[in-house]
Amino acid sequence: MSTASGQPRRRRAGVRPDDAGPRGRRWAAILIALGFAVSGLLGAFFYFLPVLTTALHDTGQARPATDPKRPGVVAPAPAAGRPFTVLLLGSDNDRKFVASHILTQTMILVRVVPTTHQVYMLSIPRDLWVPLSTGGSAKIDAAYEIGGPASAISTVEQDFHVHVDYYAWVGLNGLVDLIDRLGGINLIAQMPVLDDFYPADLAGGDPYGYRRIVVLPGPQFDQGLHALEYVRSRHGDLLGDIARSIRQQELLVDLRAAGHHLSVADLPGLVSALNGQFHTDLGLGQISALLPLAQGITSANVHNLIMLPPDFSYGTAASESVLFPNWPQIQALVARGFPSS
Amino acid sequence: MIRGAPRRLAALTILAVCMAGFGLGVWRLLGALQTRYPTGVRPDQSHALVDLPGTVFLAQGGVLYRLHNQSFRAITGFGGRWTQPTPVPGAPTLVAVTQTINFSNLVEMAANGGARRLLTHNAAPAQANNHWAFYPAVAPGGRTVFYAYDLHDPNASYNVTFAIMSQPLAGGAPTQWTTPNPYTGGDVQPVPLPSGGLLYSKFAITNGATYAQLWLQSGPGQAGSPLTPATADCQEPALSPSGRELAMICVNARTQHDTLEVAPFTGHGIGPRTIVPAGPLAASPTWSPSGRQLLYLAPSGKLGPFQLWWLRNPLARHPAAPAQVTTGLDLTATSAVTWR
Repeated sequence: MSTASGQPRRRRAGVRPDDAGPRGRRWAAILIALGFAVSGLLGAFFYFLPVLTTALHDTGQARPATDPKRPGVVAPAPAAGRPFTVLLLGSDNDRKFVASHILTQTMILVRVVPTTHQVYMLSIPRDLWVPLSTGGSAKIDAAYEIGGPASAISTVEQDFHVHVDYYAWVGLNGLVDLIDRLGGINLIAQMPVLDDFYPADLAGGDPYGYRRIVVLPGPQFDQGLHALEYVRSRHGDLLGDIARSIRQQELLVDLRAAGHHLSVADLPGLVSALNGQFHTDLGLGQISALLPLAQGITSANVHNLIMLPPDFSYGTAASESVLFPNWPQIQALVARGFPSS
Repeated sequence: MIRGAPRRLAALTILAVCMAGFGLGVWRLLGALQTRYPTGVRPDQSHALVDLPGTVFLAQGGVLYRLHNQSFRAITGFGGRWTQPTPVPGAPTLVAVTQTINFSNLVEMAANGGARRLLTHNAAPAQANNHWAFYPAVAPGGRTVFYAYDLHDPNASYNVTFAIMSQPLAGGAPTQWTTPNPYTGGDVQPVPLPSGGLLYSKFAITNGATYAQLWLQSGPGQAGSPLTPATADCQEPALSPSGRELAMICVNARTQHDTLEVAPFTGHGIGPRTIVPAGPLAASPTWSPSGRQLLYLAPSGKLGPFQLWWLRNPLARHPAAPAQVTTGLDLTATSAVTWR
């Protein structure tokens, strides 16, 4: 449309109510960008929601107090670059026990020295007969049953003269699901494992039944249940529970290798795998900080400390087969990787 | 104003949809950044990268496959648990293991998987009376099959260990060859020798250390002698068709690393062991029919499911780099391949 003089008719400013001018357009652009940013953040939020839920429920756990001397606390973060010690606990939560009162079949002290990328692992036999921090003496696997992680930590600290900075607990199902989530795990079985009395809880569905298992020796790529058979069986081995501890330490080396290529995008899947089967007093930030550290550790820098006779002697207490500690021997072994508290 | 409102509404709706799509895209992008784990495709849905001479038999996921002209074909049904195929010298048949809950048996079958014949009968009504049979190996001459069989200690029910047995392939009573160390897993991976003797892996636990040694024995019940030192932790012996070269896997369980090694074999002892450049986690070596090449299993990277690898000249002073034969599979690493 044009005027009689042939000039195009100028639109008057303010005639179109939706024409907000350059300033308005700038605001509109900012609002649109903000909308996209919020939408993207929401997408990321929902992606990491399982991680956040787990962070709230299962990490940064306060250690409940078991005695007046040890009030419940969240573990403080050790100074950056300083060595720290984690007590790894594994439980046979195979439906035979009340979930809050289970023994720890696995107790491994792990000391990490970030500056040198050295790792020391000490397996504590479950049958070791020790004074408990809660009073009396029992097999050390009962410490967790009686007083949870706080009792397990204080018993280990009291008997082994070490300081424990953190603990992490994982259930059998959690370990199986974690390995499956990783797609499987490479391990070298150091011997044939034959067990005619392997619990039929996970694969057989019978917490009180047994089944026969066989794990053939040598390199292999295993899914969770088969890998668990290798590290859980203890009957057909001259070293009994000690051999199982050695195999568990090997599995930790394998897990570290399998986790080498993980990224932050893998966290929700891993967390879902460990759903309810994992808790720790490490905070999520501390766990995240450990990931790059774990990637810098080679298997040659992992030092396995194993208790063997004469670190203990076989005997009977409270009508049970137990291991009686030889504390001077054990202290000497502990001192090879863990400073005295 | 009347016309502008719907336009604005439409624009806002489109913007909102785009924003929601962007959020969904971020969610999906993060999901796509997750580490992808190889799931192990079925061999008969893939092709070998290398055209190996002859025919190879191997196992994956409980199924036996035949590899010929770069193509795989399943020779057993899906849903079973078949493993460890081994050739019968002088016959067009194989012996393999079929495993189920609580027991396993040896079966002789045609090379196409047909005409099966059960060689052992290890199933029993009572769980404790079941038995395992693994690692079949047919002696030169094709008349006797050797295998690892779990012995039950009548006085100690936890002491279950493998011993090496032999029995006529045509049927007959088994003969126990070896006496395993108690509570060690026992003796496995028999290799019958042309001399009538036996080579195998014997496991032991001494001073808290668990290890394997290649062991040589001249007859059933005879005292044997080790061929490799305890500190080397060597197992999975494979004897070349000439009987003069031995391949083996030597393990460092603490670091979870191993090496593929070869050594000259005199019939009574072995010469110096040489590490072959096979990469990490090599397993289950097998010689070619010519005795100059090796097949073995190993992950395609440092980790992951096992693939088939080929070494053209493992005995050369400077062997060529191994060639990867398969990709994307999940071969059973405890099941040595058969190459004929």
